[in-house]
Amino acid sequence: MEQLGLPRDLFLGMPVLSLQGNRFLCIENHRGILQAGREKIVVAAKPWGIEVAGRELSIVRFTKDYMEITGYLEHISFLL
Amino acid sequence: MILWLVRFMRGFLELKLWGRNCERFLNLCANRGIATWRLSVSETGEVFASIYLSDFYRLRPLLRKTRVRLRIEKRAGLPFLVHRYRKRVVFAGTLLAMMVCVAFLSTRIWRIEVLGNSAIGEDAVLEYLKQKGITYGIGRDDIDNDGLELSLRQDFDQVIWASVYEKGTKLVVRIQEKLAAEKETNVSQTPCTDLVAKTDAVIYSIVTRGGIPLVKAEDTVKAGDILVCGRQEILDDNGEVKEYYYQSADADILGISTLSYTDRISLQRVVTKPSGKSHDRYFLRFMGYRFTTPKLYGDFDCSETIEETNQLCLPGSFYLPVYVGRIRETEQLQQIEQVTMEQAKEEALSHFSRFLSDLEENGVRIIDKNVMIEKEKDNYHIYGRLKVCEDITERVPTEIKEAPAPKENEEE
Repeated sequence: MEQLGLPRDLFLGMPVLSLQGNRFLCIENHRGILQAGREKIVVAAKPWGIEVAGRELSIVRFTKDYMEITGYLEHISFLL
Repeated sequence: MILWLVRFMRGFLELKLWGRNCERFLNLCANRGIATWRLSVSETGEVFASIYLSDFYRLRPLLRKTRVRLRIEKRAGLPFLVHRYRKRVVFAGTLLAMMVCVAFLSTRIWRIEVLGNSAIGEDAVLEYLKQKGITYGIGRDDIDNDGLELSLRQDFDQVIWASVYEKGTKLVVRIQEKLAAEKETNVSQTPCTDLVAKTDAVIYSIVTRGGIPLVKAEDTVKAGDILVCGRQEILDDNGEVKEYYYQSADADILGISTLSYTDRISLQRVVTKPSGKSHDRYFLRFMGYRFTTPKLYGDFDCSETIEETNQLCLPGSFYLPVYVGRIRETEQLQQIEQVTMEQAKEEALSHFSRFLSDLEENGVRIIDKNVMIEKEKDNYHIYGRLKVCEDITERVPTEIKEAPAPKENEEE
């Protein structure tokens, strides 16, 4: 894949995370919401889930493969 | 902004969801292309989310499948507004007509602003634009800005730079004028001229550039005396005039002359003071029609009327051809006041200062001044004399003389 120069997110279905400071997180290629709460949001993704912890979290946009999370982000971890 | 507009036009619902499988419900929504936004979870575990109105009826099978319950918390958007005001057709029609009207008016020019002019009056520019067909109500696309800039520069000698552009429904004409216009002289029209004294004076200084000077400094001259002659005699060997050479006399001649000053200030004067009573009326002017509120009060004996007009303007220089204004009529009380000597002196001094400043603006230097004030029967008389140094020349055509006929040779 690296030798061919192909994008991983398209061919392996890996999520793409874009972070703006600690206030805004955009996740592309997700597989759905596993858990939604004010202090923790768990998002399903391939191959691992993504756990976002913080305060006053909310999902401002949610579509099939795209979501935006705002709030005070404190911790982002992968659920291996 | 665009997203907000789309949501408003389509209409949207704010839902409250509760149940054990809210996350699954949201995932199913996403998989079926039902967009959701503003998802938040309350402390009690209820999920709040917004969806488009058109997607609401697609939720039923998903609700059954996930056993999630929902409640509509808020309805918003155009479909709900239309539904709410469905019986107010006239209101909606008026609103629509207004929007169409404003959209139409926004394509026209309703205000013309002229900037940067000082020598050329605003009225002259507006009149010129009118001749070019550019007046209030013209379409924005009908104005050839580049062509107008060029014609402004060509048709007004004073204009050295012009810029024409639209700002909202306002046409801005910005011009730059020459700093100092060249004085027009009539030298070219009358090539042979003399300089004569326009007043009795004593010559203070004389600098001649053309012509024959007939006076020198400290000479006394009377009004009409020729100071510099444009006719020059060319003598032959015998010292007699052979012919005349004509040119335009040109010189700077300063002379000391005396000016008399007189002024009269009446012993009585009428003073008007506002009584504090005023009546207001309002008007609306649209496309040449003017509607004024009726006059509900009697006329004042003596009054002052001030009319304030404002053009209706929406944000972004969007001027409309609608003018609103107020007509304020204020009652004035007239009182006849006796003028004291002190007041008269003060007023006389003010008049005299204005007179002096006018003289100085015209290049007259004041050397000495002596002014008196005395009380007469009906007024105060102010009189005096000023000694001034000024340009005393006046241009007159040179007297043309016939060249003497050549004398016959004595030997013949």
